[in-house]
Amino acid sequence: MILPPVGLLHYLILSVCLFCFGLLAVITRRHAIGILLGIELMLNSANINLVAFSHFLSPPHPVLDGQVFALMVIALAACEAAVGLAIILRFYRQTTVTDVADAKLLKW
Amino acid sequence: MTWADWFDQLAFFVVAGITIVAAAGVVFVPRIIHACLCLLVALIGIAGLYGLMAAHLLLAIQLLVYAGGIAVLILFAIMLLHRRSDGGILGGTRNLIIGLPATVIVWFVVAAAVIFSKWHYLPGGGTVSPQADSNVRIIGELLLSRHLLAFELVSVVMLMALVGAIIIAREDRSTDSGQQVAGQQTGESGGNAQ
Amino acid sequence: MPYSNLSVFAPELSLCGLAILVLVADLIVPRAWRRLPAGLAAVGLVVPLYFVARLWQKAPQSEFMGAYAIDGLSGAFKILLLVTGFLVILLSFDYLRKLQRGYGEYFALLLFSLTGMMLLTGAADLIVIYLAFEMISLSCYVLTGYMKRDPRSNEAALKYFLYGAAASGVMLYGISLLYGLGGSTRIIDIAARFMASGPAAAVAVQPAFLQSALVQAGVPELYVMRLAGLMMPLAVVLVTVGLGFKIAMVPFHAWAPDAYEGAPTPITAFLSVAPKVAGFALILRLLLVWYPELMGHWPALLASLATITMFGGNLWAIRQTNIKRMLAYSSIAHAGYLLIGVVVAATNSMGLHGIIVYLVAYLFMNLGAFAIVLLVARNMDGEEISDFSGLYHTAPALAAVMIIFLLSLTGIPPTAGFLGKLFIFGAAIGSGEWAWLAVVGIINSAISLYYYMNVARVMYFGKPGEQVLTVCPAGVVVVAVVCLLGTLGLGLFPGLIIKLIQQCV
Repeated sequence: MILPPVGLLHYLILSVCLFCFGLLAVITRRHAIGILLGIELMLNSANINLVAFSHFLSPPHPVLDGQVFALMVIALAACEAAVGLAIILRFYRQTTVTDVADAKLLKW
Repeated sequence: MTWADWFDQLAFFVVAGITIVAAAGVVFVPRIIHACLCLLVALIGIAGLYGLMAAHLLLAIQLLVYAGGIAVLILFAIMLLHRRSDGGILGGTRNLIIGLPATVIVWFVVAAAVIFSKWHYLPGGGTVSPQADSNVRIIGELLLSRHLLAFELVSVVMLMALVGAIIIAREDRSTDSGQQVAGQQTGESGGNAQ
Repeated sequence: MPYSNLSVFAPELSLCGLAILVLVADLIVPRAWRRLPAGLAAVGLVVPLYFVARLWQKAPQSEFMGAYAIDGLSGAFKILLLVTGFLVILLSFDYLRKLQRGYGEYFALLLFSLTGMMLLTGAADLIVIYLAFEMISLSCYVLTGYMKRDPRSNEAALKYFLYGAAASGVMLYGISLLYGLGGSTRIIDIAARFMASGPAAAVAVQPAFLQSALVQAGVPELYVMRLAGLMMPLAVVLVTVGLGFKIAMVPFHAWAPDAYEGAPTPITAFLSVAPKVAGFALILRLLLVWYPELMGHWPALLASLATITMFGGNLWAIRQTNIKRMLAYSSIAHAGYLLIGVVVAATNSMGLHGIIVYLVAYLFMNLGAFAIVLLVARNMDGEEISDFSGLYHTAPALAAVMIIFLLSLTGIPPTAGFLGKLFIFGAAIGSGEWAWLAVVGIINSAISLYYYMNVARVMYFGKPGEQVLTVCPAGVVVVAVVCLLGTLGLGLFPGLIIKLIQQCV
């Protein structure tokens, strides 16, 4: 059996799968932290893209822009998680609902 | 195919399989804490993928910051909450009816675009210098030359996020009891900060 | 040296420095003087404004090895942002009076947010775009949830965060694909790569077996070729999701009414103007650099989005009873009008000028309306439209000023709003291809007349409440006066600003 060598497409397809799982979690999860988990998956799928592109980039551009970008994304994901968790904790301390769709003080 | 090729294939598919299964867990597991643990596994799997792509610095940072920092932060937050389960995807079908077909469509569209696009790339990869230390050096140089603005900007964003998160998260006990309590609190928080 | 000339970066540097200064000043001054850092924030904005104005007349240049562009267009947007920031700070003084802690940090966050927006107007690199975008988003989430005691503020922040983070995740995925297609993070390099090679000359490595399999299975070769060009539109659509979220376009607007209603009112005013200015600056930059090689179909996509954004915003606004929520939907509709300008701007510089003129007008009339809402809410303790009932009898001047802002928002002469709409619709008609958008815009202006004038009707014919206006915070009054002068001045003497814009942009 001849398998195509592991290349850019393998990583891209994997990242599409992760992105879609993240999207599904964002849509279907009803706990705010569950949605946050889905968002983290989406960010990671973008990171896989970035690193894969920067790894398989053809020789005229032997630069690691994508890896630098991925570094920045990781840093920002940390910031986003910190701010987001602060907001989520504050919200759950004040209400009794678990399902964010039941947060209806403001009309959805 | 040589043994090295087989090893490449095996390594990729094992790591990718673990990552995909864990990512599926993030969606389908009912208890939120288990979902977070699944995310942790997925993050470690992704670190493994970085390793396969010779991005060793990112591998380390993914493990340290993402798996070790962000995922654990989320775990702590979950443990601070009392409501830990949302029934998961199987507990309620409200959004599933729209969400699942929509996601499947997105998957097909993006996957088709990825497969049929003309990527200007080499098949085997590895065009990046195989020595990890030189990769790190290149990234360091990029951060201080080509991406200097981004590098400086990320520090400002972090400062801002820190201030913002503290503002939102800290307890505000002094309600209307006047200046004295508030003054004491400021003193306390100042002391804590030191 | 990568940073040959930092002086062109002076506005952003000084603004960021000011934010940090306010943060530090708030730590060291005693509590009784806590207004000092806030005042510093307002006064200090003069410094970046001076630098922007000084750079405005100069030739376009780029800094940080092409990661950041300084030109007339971004200069105009930066001035708009700084003026918005100044007015919002003035609006905030009185609103925050009950705040126990975090008084100075509020202004610091506002200034950081402005810094991010200014960076977005000049960003010419995908990484910088993403970072600036997140900087704006994170600060806005926190500011939305700033009134921690108010459950509505918390809920607004939560919804804003969940939507915003998901949208930026989608956008990041699109950006990563753009990076892969272009092979560089600089938007100009991406454009160059596409112009140089083009799809035909590409040395493509792809699974030929899949394509030949499709052809053998009977799929016409033309469609297989089309599939190969799918990636660029897809990436652009994903990026549009993120941008559409930021400027509250209709399919991605769901956060806006909730966030606007729950947020502290000065922040609502800020959210309704500043992120839009920054978002449109970025859309224009991408469009001007990437059109038409990469974004040939973008104007058509934006035109359809503009149509549903206008109709959606205006039709939902009719049903609202809360004035902040109504203004939220109205601001969505205004994003739709502005999108017409973007669609036209790709081929016609009049659209470009129209967007700037419209944004200037929108800034004054919208912030003015929010200033009046703040004044009324301060005295009536409510933000429903019914709280405006009989305002004409208790405070005639206030009612008259509100009418002027509402007329301007509708686009009736001789106000600034009319001038803005004249420019944008005129540009659309002049372009020929997009003339139908002007018709849609005019129909929508007629719809908007209904709900804006409903507020006027309530003010004039409603039963006056018992309370009269007793408290008139100086900052809010100043903003109302400035906005009134701006709205009328732009409407009565349009020549000055138009000349300035045509000179510099």
